Amino acid sequence: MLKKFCFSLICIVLTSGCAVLHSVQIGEIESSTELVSVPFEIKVSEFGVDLNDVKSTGRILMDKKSSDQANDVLTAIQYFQMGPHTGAGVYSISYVDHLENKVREQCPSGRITGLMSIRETAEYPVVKGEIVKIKGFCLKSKRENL
Amino acid sequence: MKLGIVGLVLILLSGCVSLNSVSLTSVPVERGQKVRAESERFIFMGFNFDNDYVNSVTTDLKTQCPNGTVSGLLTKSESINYFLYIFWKSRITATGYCVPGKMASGSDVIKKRRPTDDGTEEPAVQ
Repeated sequence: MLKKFCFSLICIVLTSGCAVLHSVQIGEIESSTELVSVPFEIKVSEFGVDLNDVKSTGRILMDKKSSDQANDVLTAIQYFQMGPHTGAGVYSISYVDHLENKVREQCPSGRITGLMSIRETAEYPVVKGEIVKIKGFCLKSKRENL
Repeated sequence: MKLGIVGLVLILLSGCVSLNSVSLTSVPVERGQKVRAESERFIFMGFNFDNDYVNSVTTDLKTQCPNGTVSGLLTKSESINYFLYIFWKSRITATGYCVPGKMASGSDVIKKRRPTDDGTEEPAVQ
C-alpha cells in the first residue's frame, strides 16, 4: 500500500511541471459593439535542459567516480553557456520564428487586437519546456462570426 | 517583547520587489480616460502550475473601454519576494488610456495578406 502511494507520488512529482513566468507584454486593445472578439491562442515551445539538474541527478544515480567525471564534462559545457539568459538553454531558438505567420493563420482578416505575449518555462526535473504563448482576439463582424 | 514581535511581523510581511519585464505601446494624443488592470497570484514554495491569471488583465481592460481603444499601455511584470523566499507574489499591472471611438483595425480597410507574405506593400500599378 505504502509502496503504491510512494510510486504514485513520484509519478505526480515527475509529470507535474511548475510554471515560471518570465515576461508579459500586452498590445493595444480595441473593442467595438459592432464587432465580435474571437479569442485565439498560439503556443510554441522548445525542449531545454538544466545542466545543474543533470549534475544533481547524476550524483544520485551514479557512483562517485562516474558522477565526478560527468560533473567535469558538464562543467566544461557550462563554461560555454554563461551569461544572462531566461530559462534553461535550448539547442535552437528558431521555434519562435514563425509566430507572425501562425497569428495570421489564426486571424486571416488581420484585425487582431489585445495581443498578449507570454514567455514562460514549464519546469520538470532535468528537462524544461521553454514556452512562448501568444494570446489575442480576432475582430470579426457579427456576420463573419456566424 | 511587544516591539520584538512587531518587528518580526514587519520583517515577515514586508517583501522586496523585483521587476521582470516592462513594455509600453504607443501613447495617444488624447489621454483623458485612464484605465488600469491588475492580476496577481500568491505562490508558495514555487508551486505554480499555470500562469492563466494573466489572462484577466486583457479582459478587464476591454470591459473598462467597451467602445474604443486602450493605447499607451504600460505593462509591468513583477515579483514580490517575502521572507526567505518561502512564498512570493507574482503580479501583472497594466495601465493605459482609453481613446473612445478610435478603431484602427476595426473600421479601416485591412489588406488581406497571404500567410507567407512578409508584409511589404506592393508598388502601385502605373
